[in-house]
Amino acid sequence: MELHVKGELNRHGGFSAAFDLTVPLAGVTAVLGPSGAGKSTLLRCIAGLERDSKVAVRLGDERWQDEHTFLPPHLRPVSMVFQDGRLFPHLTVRQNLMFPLEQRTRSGARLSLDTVIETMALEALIDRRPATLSGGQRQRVALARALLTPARLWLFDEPMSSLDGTARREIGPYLARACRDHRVPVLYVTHALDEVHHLASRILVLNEGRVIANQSIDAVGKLTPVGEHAYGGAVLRGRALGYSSEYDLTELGIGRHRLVITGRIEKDSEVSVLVAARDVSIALQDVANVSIQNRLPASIVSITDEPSGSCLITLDCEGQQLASRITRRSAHQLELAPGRSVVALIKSVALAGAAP
Amino acid sequence: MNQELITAGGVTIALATVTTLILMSFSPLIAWWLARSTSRMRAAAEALVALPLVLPPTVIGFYLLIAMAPDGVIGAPWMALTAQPLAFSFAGLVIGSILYSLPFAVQPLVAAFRSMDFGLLDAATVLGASPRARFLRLVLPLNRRALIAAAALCFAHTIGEFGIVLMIGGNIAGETRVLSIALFDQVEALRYAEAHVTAFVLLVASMLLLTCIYVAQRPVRES
Repeated sequence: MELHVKGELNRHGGFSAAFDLTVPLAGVTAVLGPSGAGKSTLLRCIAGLERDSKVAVRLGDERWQDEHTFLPPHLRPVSMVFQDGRLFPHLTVRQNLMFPLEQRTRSGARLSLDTVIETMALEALIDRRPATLSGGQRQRVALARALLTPARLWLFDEPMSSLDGTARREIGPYLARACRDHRVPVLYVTHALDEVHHLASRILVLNEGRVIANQSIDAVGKLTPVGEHAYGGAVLRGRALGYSSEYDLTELGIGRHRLVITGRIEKDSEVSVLVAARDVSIALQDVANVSIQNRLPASIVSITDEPSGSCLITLDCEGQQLASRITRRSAHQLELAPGRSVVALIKSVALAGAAP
Repeated sequence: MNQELITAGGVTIALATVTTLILMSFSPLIAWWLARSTSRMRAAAEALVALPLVLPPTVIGFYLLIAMAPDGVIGAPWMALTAQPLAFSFAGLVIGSILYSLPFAVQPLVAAFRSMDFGLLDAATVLGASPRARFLRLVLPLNRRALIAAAALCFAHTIGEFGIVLMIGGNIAGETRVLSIALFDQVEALRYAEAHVTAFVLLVASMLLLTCIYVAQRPVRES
């Protein structure tokens, strides 16, 4: 099943967007881009909340919106979680959760209230009013409420960006669990790639109302960097060699080289890890006396200057691509050039991609 | 004397109650349309609703009197339906009061609806709520203070009505003679002692009602 969105949208404030995209709907698609790029607008068009737009929306063969049709938003099989939760202030948590169950406008499978209350751990909050909840709790209720709405597509509009670090850590596992357990495709808008890299199988990057990248996460190393936001990164494939319980680390084999990653991974399983370009530094030879564990020999493929005084260096490591973002000054002082052999120092490595 | 006051008071309260009930049954819908519509007709409709605020009541009364005549646009069908004339009847008074108090029902609601959090309505929409469900489950309960205030204002304003009643209601005891008219009669007949009582009753009742409205409107955190 594919989602097609195509058309222009102009707002009075001067914001305009020209969408033209086709997204295969499976798993989680991360929608990235700086503020004002049109990420939320895209979701609102899909949900039917931008009534005046001339944007055509189609899910597979079903035309939701074009010149001749407009499927009212309450009839579209989408469910949405907003940045600010939007719990109904005059209803208790239970009444908020009951709200989508009481609407009879949509058909389709519904999860049971009890199941959702249990998996989202909401029992203790059930009779409280939204005003008495913390930000993280509110967002958990909002997520649960969205899960109770029959939908074939979930739209998450920066569900964590209004939360502080503690609240993020609190809700993160619930979001991840919802994405993994329910097999409903998700468009997940976020500023931060690290919020979704362990869930997303695809990335859509918007800038100034236009799609500038739309690709599977395997190809993320070729991403265009957007403004000041470091979305560049690369995916390395490797095989788990062994786990050390003492350090809670798993060693991965990347060709002839070794990479360590936090946590336990089943021996011999093939995994993808995401390495953000900003987490990769470059040394001319291997250095022993640093805390950085992951040091991979690589050769420089290309160097691209960027406007903010940085440059993006593409590296080849055993046939796999890796990206590094360093300052132009460093690149100059180290006399980096295509073809040169270097060592990539990788500060952090994260498991990538919910394998479909 | 007391009997006259009680009868006129009864008519006044009956008129205010019926008028308020009828107005509150459809004003929220008009107000919702005015608050949300982007139609070019909106400004004209809003001006029409506000018209009774600036027009002398005698002007409204005059046109109503003509419309309510047995061969008028409202009076003729009414006659056909009920075999009763509409002018100088309680029903005619109710129609006049509805027009006269309409802005007092609609305007506070428009203001409240315009300032409500439309994001909540979007949230309800993506949860599958139809426009009707959104109105009944969110708009009305979230604006219940404004609804109470609008109803109370209608009630108070109808009690204070004079000009229209004078034009279309006449002065039939127990049918169309309200307190404001009774006071007018008493003064005209130089019955000042009785006029003092009537005026004082109206003054105190109005003050009490308004106090209730403003107490109900004090800001309270939603929790």
